[in-house]
Amino acid sequence: MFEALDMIDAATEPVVEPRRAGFSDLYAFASDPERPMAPELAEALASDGALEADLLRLLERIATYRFPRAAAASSGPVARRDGDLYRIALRPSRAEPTQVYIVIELADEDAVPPELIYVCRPGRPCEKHRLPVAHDGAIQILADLHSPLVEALRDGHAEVFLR
Amino acid sequence: MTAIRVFILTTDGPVEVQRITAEDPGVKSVICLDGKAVALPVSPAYEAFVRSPTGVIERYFGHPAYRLDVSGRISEGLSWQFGVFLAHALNESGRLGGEGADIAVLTTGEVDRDLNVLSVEAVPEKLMLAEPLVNDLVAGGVATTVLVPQDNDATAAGGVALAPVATVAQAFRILGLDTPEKTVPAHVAAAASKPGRGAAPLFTISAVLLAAAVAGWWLMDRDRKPVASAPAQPVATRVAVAAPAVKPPPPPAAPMPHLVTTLVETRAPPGKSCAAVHFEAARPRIVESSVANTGQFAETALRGLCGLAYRITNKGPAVDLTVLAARARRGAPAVRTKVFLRNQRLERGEWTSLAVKPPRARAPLRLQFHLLAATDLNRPVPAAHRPVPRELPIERWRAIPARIARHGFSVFTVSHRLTP
Repeated sequence: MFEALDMIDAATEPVVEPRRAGFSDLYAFASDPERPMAPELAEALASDGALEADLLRLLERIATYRFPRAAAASSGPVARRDGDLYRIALRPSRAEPTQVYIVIELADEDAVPPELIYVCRPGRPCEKHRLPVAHDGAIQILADLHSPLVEALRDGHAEVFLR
Repeated sequence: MTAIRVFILTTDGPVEVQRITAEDPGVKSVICLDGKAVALPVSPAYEAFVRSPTGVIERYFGHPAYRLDVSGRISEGLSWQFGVFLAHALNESGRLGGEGADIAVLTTGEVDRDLNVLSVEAVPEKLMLAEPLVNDLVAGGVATTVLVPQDNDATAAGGVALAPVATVAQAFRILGLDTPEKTVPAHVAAAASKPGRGAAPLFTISAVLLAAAVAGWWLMDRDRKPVASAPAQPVATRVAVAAPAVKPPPPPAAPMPHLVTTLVETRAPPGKSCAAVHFEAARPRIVESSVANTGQFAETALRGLCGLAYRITNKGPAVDLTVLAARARRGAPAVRTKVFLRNQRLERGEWTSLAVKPPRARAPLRLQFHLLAATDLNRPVPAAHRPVPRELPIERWRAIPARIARHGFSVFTVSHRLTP
């Protein structure tokens, strides 16, 4: 009797479709500094090349600067990205070999200090980080060598945006 | 060699300097918490304390970037400078110790460019918070010295008498250390190997080396100046007292710059417009007026003003000139800034012209120029290469001359009021 009632309940419960990530999720991630990438968006980006391209286009539109790809055919980790307004360098710490300094230099005195960095690797969730205040024309972050941000920056196929 | 532990007194309790490591010169110096990848917010101030030409650490220890690990948080303020300087000196001589060291020194104080120890706030609170540590150290047989700025007039910590000091050199004597001598920073040495602008290489090398030698002699001499009359009260059992220093000769006086700024107004003739002047259909009227070094031009009406320029002529010895400009509106909390020149060499008799587009304004506004002049041509104005924010709070703009002048540069301010 109870089994039958359970079956009826199950049959009459509304079916919850998994929510598809859409443009509003992309926009929220790109524009809201505090918003992390939702798991469903990460999943959708990993499987949908068009959505990933949309995110890159959106980031390019809202970002103040997009770094050119470090090297399409490069092998090995990238230690430096040079742009005409900004430069990003990864410098290992001599004190702690497992830590690295991410140094974002403002190559141009008129460049606006960015507040956010996005690093997007093909087929992976984008890394978004709030940047500390610039001092003397540079922003510096001390991070663990194996942190997601450092690993993404070392990937030559990653796209890097500053905002 | 005896190792010495260094503690910095803070309002959150004493913090130990655990380790100092010379880092890649391409990074900025950081103070980190306990070996973690956590740079404390005080790090930018530490960078300024380290890197030459503003910082003293590079000047004395020859390296521009360090990582300093501490056992606890250090909040904003500059009272960590004294302890950090001592820790660097001990680190250089391989004597910065940790747990197990026989000597400990607790410090608070700010350090200026001449290594004077300046007074700081909240010393009684810091000492009170340090009492348990001082008592533990003393009970453990560690010779403990508490160094405080002489001007703070503090008394005791945990039953241990304080050692008031007015200079870093006094602290070194109390701790039995050698007073550090200024090193020639690498970039000065590198500059000596490069030919200068428009000068014969041999002459330039000689001039740079001579200047470095003179600067070194002068700074070293300043460091050897006699200590203040109030004697320090050493608490440590190992105390070495240095021989009385000989009064040094006065430093050579820097030549005074003499800069004349000439306002050059280009105006349309009566009945003609600026467009006519622009297209050479009318001959402009040129009006000039000058001020020497610091001064103010007579008010200028923007109506009919086609062009505006400020010509700066050097009538004194050669200078490296940096010009910062600001546009201020009455009552506005911030000014709009622009850097016109960055350490541009002006020989005697040379001039440079700063062209300014006549602004459109409905209300009066003021243009102001800070002329930062370095007559020691091997010592450019330190902040000149750095970006200046486009918008600057008016207090910060006004504070620039005093900040730059503190480093021995000449600063002149020229103002000009423009009305609609």
